Amino acid sequence: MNCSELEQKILLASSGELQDEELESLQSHLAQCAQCKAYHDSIDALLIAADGSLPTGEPSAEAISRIKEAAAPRQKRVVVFPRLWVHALAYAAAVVVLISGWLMLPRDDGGRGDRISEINTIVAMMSEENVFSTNIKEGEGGNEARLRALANTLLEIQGFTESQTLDEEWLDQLTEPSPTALLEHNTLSPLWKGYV
Amino acid sequence: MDASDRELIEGYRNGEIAALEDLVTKYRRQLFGYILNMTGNSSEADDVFQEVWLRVIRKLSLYNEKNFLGWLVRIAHNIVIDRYRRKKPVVSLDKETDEGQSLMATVVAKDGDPEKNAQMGEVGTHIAEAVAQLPDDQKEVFVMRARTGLTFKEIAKVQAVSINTVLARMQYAITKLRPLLQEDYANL
Repeated sequence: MNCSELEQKILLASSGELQDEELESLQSHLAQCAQCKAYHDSIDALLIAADGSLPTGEPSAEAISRIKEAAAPRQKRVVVFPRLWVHALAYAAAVVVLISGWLMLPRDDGGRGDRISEINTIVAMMSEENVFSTNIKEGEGGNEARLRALANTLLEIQGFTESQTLDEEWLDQLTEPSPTALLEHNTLSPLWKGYV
Repeated sequence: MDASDRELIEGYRNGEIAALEDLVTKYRRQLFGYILNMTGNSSEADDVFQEVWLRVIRKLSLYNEKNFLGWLVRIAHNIVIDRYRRKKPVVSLDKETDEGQSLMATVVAKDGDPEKNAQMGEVGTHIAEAVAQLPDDQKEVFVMRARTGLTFKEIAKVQAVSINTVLARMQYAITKLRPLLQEDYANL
């Protein structure tokens, strides 16, 4: 192989791409050939000189800034507030539907006793007070007593005091309530009087 | 691929922005130096440099090559080629200033490392001017070797030619540069 053919191997050697065996062979030749040795030395010298003299510079701060901006992931807007309200409304609607459906279910005994329990449940949900603590427990005193307690609770919610309790006569009226009867008994809520 | 490059790429893929910034910093000088020498214009080099990284950001999720710098240079090469095809106005470094000095000499004096330039003196200026006069494909091979340190195999990938073609281009470049530096070469 002549010196012209060896130039490409010298270039590959300068970039570290020559195989070990070929590199060894080349180095043996360079030790003996001044022309190839001069070519080998000039390659390194030129590359070193060029690295120091070719135009060099830095990208602008604006370019760097735009690159950083493009690299940052876009933050997704997470809207929490509406989603919470949607969930809350959905749950509330489900509860109302369940209760309504439950109330509409037929009862064997006319459902009076169960209805009282159901109304108690609804009242408990509406009232801030724990009405179950004052209610007569199921089976204790029968449905009539429970109905009395429930009615008292409803009256309390309407603003009546504990002294204005229901008596037996009033309770009987509840089975066939009429606004006139309630008005005569003077237990009709003041708030309702305007509607009679 | 360099182990640190692999870690930085994975870091960015996992959402660490700082990892990409580290890559930009790591290859800033080599990449910008290559682009500047190919465009001959600082402003255009800035645009190309930015465009390279924007493309990197878009495609990094798919990247699986061995040499990250080689990939950067290849992207830059394609952008420069596209711009030349569109005939974007580029100031030639051969154009002379009012003082009769080529712009290359001006650029070298302005952008070159002052300490190195002081040491290299006229030699450095002659080299820079001689490189600027090379045909584009030969200049590119020489600049890539000098500025980025890419191997001839990687340069062949950038230029999409065989390694023998790249070696031939480098031989032609060296052949043209050596006589121009005949006197100065003795001082190298």
